[in-house]
This record gives sequence, C-alpha cells and structure tokens, in this order.
Amino acid sequence: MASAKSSNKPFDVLVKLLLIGDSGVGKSCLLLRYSDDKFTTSFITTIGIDFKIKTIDLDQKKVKMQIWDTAGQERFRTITAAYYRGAHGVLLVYDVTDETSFENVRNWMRNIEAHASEAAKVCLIGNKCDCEDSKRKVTKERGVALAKEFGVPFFETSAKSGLRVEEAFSSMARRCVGESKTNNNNSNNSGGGGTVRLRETAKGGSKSSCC
Amino acid sequence: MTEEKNDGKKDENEPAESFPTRAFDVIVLGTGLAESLIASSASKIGKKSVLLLDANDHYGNSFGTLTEARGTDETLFKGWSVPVCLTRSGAVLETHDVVTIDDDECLLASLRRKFSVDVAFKFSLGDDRLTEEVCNSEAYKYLEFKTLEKSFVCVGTSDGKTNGKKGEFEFVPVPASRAEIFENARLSPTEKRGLMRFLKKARDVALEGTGVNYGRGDDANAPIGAPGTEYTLDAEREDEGTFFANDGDNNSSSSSSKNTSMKAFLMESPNDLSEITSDAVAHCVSFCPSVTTKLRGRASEMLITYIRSMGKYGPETPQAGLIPLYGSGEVAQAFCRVAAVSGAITALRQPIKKIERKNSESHIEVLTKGGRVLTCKKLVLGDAQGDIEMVGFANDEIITPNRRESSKFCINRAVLVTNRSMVGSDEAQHRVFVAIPPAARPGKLYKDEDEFVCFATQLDYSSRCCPKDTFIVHLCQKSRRTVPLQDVFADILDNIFSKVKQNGEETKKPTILWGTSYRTPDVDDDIVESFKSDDFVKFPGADCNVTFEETVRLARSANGCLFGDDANASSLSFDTLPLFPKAPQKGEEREEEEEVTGDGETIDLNEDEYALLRDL
Repeated sequence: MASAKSSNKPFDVLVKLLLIGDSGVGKSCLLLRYSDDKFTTSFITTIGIDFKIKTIDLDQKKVKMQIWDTAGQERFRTITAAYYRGAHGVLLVYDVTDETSFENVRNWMRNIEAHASEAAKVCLIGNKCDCEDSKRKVTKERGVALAKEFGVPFFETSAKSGLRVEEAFSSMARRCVGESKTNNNNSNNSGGGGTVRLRETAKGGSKSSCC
Repeated sequence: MTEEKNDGKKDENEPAESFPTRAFDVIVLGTGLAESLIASSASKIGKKSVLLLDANDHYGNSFGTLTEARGTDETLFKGWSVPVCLTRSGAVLETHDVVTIDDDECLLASLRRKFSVDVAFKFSLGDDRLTEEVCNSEAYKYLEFKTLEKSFVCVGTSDGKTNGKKGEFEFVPVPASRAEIFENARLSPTEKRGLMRFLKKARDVALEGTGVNYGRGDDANAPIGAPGTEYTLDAEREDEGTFFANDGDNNSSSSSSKNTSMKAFLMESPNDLSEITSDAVAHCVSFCPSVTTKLRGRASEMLITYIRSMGKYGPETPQAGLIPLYGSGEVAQAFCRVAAVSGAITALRQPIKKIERKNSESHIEVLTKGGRVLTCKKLVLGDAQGDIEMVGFANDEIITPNRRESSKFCINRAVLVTNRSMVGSDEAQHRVFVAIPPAARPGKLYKDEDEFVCFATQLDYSSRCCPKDTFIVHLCQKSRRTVPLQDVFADILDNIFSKVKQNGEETKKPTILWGTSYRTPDVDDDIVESFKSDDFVKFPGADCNVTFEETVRLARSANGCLFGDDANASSLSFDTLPLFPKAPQKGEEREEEEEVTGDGETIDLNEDEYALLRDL
C-alpha cells in the first residue's frame, strides 16, 4: 500500500493539526478563514465541520495540512481521546474578549498533555484581536506571558480581518514538518506491514464484488 | 478528569455550558459501541436531534479503555510476585517493585498515554458488520487498522511425556492458505483432504451470490477464500442447504443438527476432522466462545464472514482480522464523533436520576442528577450509567443489578504487559490470536468446567497500544461465577508466561511486566432476540465475544425497532438492515484521497441555543 501511495503522491508531507479551546472563541472561524478565506459573522456552531484540507508550499515541499475541528465536542468538555491521535500540532485558541476562555487555557493544556503525543507541537492563539479596546478583557502581555510559561509560540489573530491567521497556521506547519519526517519513519519501521485504511482498501473489495 | 478533582478548580467537572432543554428526538445514555452506533445513525442518517450523554467522565464504558475506566475488583496475581518495570515515562526500570492493587490507579494514570488498554478488547473482520458500518458511516476517517497476523490453537502436551509436570502448551498455527494446509506436518493426508473439502464447501456457501469473480485457481499461497483460489472452478458443488444441515427436511440427521455444537459438527461424519482441527475451525475461525456453541446461526455465519474477509483488501492483507489502532475503544469514539459532526450534542459526566415513560404525552422524561429535565421521543440506555429509577417501563425492560448478580456466568478478563511475544520471535507473529480450548488445559484449577475457551489476543507496538519492545495480551474467558477469578487463568499464566526474570537468567517465556484482571457480568442473558418497544431500548455492554459482531447485530436490531418504518420490524430476524446504508457512488473523483474534506453544511443554531450561548 505504501508503494501505491507514493507513486502519485500529490504532497510530500502530511501534517495533522487540531484546533482546541472553549466554544465560541472562533476556532471554526479561524479554520474557515485559513482554508477558504471566508468569514461569517452569524453565530454558527461547529456542527458539520470535521476537518479541512489545505496544501501549501513550504521550502519547495508540498505540505498537505489536515486541520481538524472539534465538531462541537468541546462545548461540554467531551473531546474524545481519539481526536488527538496522530496529531502533529495543536492550536490552542482563546478569545481576547472572554476572560473565562483565557482561564480555561490551562485546562485545555492539561487535556493536551494527557492525550496528545509527546512530540506534538502546541501554539497559543488569542483570537478576536480586532475588537474594540473597551471589549478586550485579556491583554496581549498576559497572553505572551502564559505562552512563555508553557514554552510555546503565541499569536494574536483575527479571523474576521484575517490578521496573522496565515502566519499562525504556516508557522505551525513549519514546526511540524521537521517533526513529521521522523514520525513517518517510525511508523514505517514498526513492522508487520502497513496499516489498513478501510476507505482506500475497500475500493479493491467493492470493485471485485461488483463486476 | 478525576485526578484533578482536588485542585480547587470547581468548574473542571462542570460542563462549559448547559445544553438546551428542548425536546430531543432521541436521547442516548451511554457511549458504548451500540449506543454510539444508534446515536450516530439517528443523527447522520435519520437527521434526528440527538443528545448523547454519559454518566462517566470517559467514553465507551465497557467498550472504552482501562486507563480511563475503573473496575479492577480482584487481583490476578494472588500469590505471585509481579515485577513492575514501568516508570512514569514508560521506560524499563532496573528494580522490580511489586504491584499491589492499591498502586493500580496511579500506575494506570501515569501510563495513560503510553498504553491503551481496552476493558474488553475486540477486533473486527474485513467483511463483518462493523466494517460495513465503519465504511458507510465515514467513521473510517477516524480509524486505522492493523491486521491480525496469525491465529493459533493451543494443544496440551501433558500426555505422559511431561512426567507429573503441569501440561505445557503448544501453539499450533491455524493454516490460512492452501499451501499452509499442505505443509502442515500435524495434519494427516486424510485430514488435509477433509479440511480442504470442508473449507471448499464453506467457501462456496460464503461467496454464493456475491458475484465475486475468481481468476487463477493455481496459486497455492492464496488464502483460502481469497479471490483467485481454485475452488469455485471445481464443478463438484454441494448444495448450500445441506452444508450446514439447514432446517428439517427429511434428512434424518438434521433433526439433531439444530442442537449440534460447531465442534461436534466438525468432528462428526462427513467432516471427520480431528479434535485439534475442529478446535481450530470452531474457535479461531468461527470464534465460538464455548465448545458447546451451537452450529446453527452465529457460528456458521461467522465462518462464512471469516472466509469472505480473507484477502478482501487484496493480496497484501490475506488475514481476516483487523485490529483498531490504539485499541478497540477507538471504535465507539469514532461513532461518537460521527454523531457530533452530524449535529448531535455530546456531554460526559451527566449522571441520570430517573427516567419516566409518559404514555399520556407519548414521550420519555429524563431527569439528570443535576436536576435538569429533558424530554425525548426515543430513549436508548447503555450499561454503566449508575442506578436509575425507571418509571413506566415493563419488568423485562429493566435490568436490575440483582438480576445481574443472579446470573450463573460471568466474563473473566486479564490484561498483561509482557516483554516478548508469546509465540516466538518471528517478525510476523506479534499480533496474534490464540484460542486455548479446555481440552488443552489438564492443569487448570477448576476441573468441573470443561466448556469455555480462553481467547488470548496479543498486540504489539505497531498497534499503538503499547510502547516499543512491549506486548499487550488480552485474555478473555467466560466461566461460572463460582470459579474464583484468580483460578481462571492460573494455568495459562504458569504455562505461557514467566513471573520474574530469574537472577538475570533469560527464560524463553515472556515475562509479565504488569497485569490486571477483572470480572464483568455475563451479558448473554440480557441479550434479547428482538426489542419490544419502539421508544426504548437497553443495551447490556460488552459480551464475551472477541469480535464486535454481536454488538453491531444488536444495535441494528434495536435501530430497526426504534426507527424502522416496517410495523413488523421487531419480528424481523436480528440485524438485517445496516445502520448506515451504503452511500451512493459519487463518481471516481470522490475516490481520490485528496478530494476528501471533512466539512459538511454548517447548521445555524436555533434560537434556544443561540440564547444559551449568548448568555455565557
């Protein structure tokens, strides 16, 4: 299977990224802004968005980014452990106009430490930085300080205006690409043949059964 | 999570917001596999409003992982000195601490990320019901599988040779291809022919009507049943009906065949297989949990499913068994995500106080321990949801703890972390399935029980369930309640594993680094052939089978009763309709992987939900 895959590979590296954070902080808006360059002001939940694919060029490499959304499961703190499987990077998002979402960053960080791979890269994102000064509850300095404490990069973004959204995602991709090379090697060397992905392989099965 | 209870953050266990109290089409209590299947299907296919709650703080209940679940009630290692070689980071330590049951919680918690230990490990087959649901529901996006590389049946060798010593086990490989049958030194020529004849017949039945076209018939290495083997070219075909001695007819032998066990059927004329071969087919192919498991129905159907599964995904994967990466707990979670992506609201830590069927208003009321009243048209109740007061339900809809206690049987499970493969160092024999029939166990402690088979499944690093150079072995066996837990697996532990690395002296046997055992209720008594009402179903939790098949069968049957248009749905035989119908082919470009994106339509919140979120 590995050989069949590499023959017409449309990308060099696959990076799996996750969005995490309280509901309403704008995770899906960040994702839609980055993948489709769209923004909607109407309040939507993340229902229906599973993940988005975006392929970018990074140092002459085609990097396919698979960015997963929480599917609303963060609303009651019920993210499945399975959500974290195989993730190379996690974008932990809070809302600069919402103090609670900032306080909860520590909880999410614990969640990430408990479930994500040790090698997974994390960055902290303060979203909605386009807001009026009067509405801002979390200063940039506090965001920077918390990110420093965790030892992760920090971005203030605006999904609405698009400010620094591209930068946040591509810096994440850059950090993960170096890492994922070794990851890929590990999984190939694990022995016992490749993994079976039902969708790819079921093709063969359905083909033979319908002729 | 529970270990963070005391850090002063009260809202840690509180939901981030409260879910809407409007009426739901379906409320599902529990996140086990059957519950998740119903929730995801109702949400995605039925377009129903679904609320999926669980009283626990983790997904899956008995289909979840041990690292997140509780429930070790007895220690496996009575009288054993078990070394712990696992530190917090999962590295192997020099010193051997002795595990006591008190250490388990903290050890498990510290190993959470390195190990994925299922409460009730199960695998799927390439062409079974679970695989069908995974493919059609798009849950495949969240799951990856490794093949189960090899199956073995255990044979006891204490036939006088091992003077007084407890019987040693010998692992006899179960032949998976024609070549392996021919090369097998254990099989006599007569038996080789008999087995080939039997499998050929089974395969003809299995592939009847599938329209599978078999090409070359001369490839001796092709798995039995794989497209390309010679059998279908053979003109001599038995009538499908007589193969499993289906139904009465005038055949004198068939009247008794209804009660014939799978094993007896294989050993009797005209199959005339030896006991070992019969055990191999009955327990490693049909996965019968008992030597008395009846031929009719499940066992013969599983044989056919197994044969269809072999080579289903091409010649690189001739094996039938598929192990979910990170363990079988991922499967229920994948369906929970399918439900969430389709709009279902999921919330953990939601214990329920009372459920009441209000016939006058034709809905069911669910009262949470938090005091919230929720209503729904249909209610699904899973296991491990605590004591719930049930009002307005018939007696046979209620499963009380007392009824569970009165059951004669229980399911015993043990999980071992070991340092080497139990079937030698062969590269290709790390992920293996072993059936240990009672006949192979003269040394077992309880002599009066000769019915139940012990299943052992070994996982390696590549299954992502354990770190490099370690193995996880799941043991599962049904028994009478009267048999003490520590006796159930004692002879197996003695024979296959070694307790401690003795004074640096290397034994060939795998050393147990960590282990635990526990007992779960036998759910077979709770499994009903058909569900009675169209507004309520109750699922019993994980059964003693090694595949998901029975659980999916149960979920399908329940789904038919809850949502089937057919008034006769409950009289339909168990399981006929899949929960997720096969998606129509959308043309070739859909097949290209890079076309796959995970987004569907976004759904606007209704006013209730909008108000709730705005109030935050």
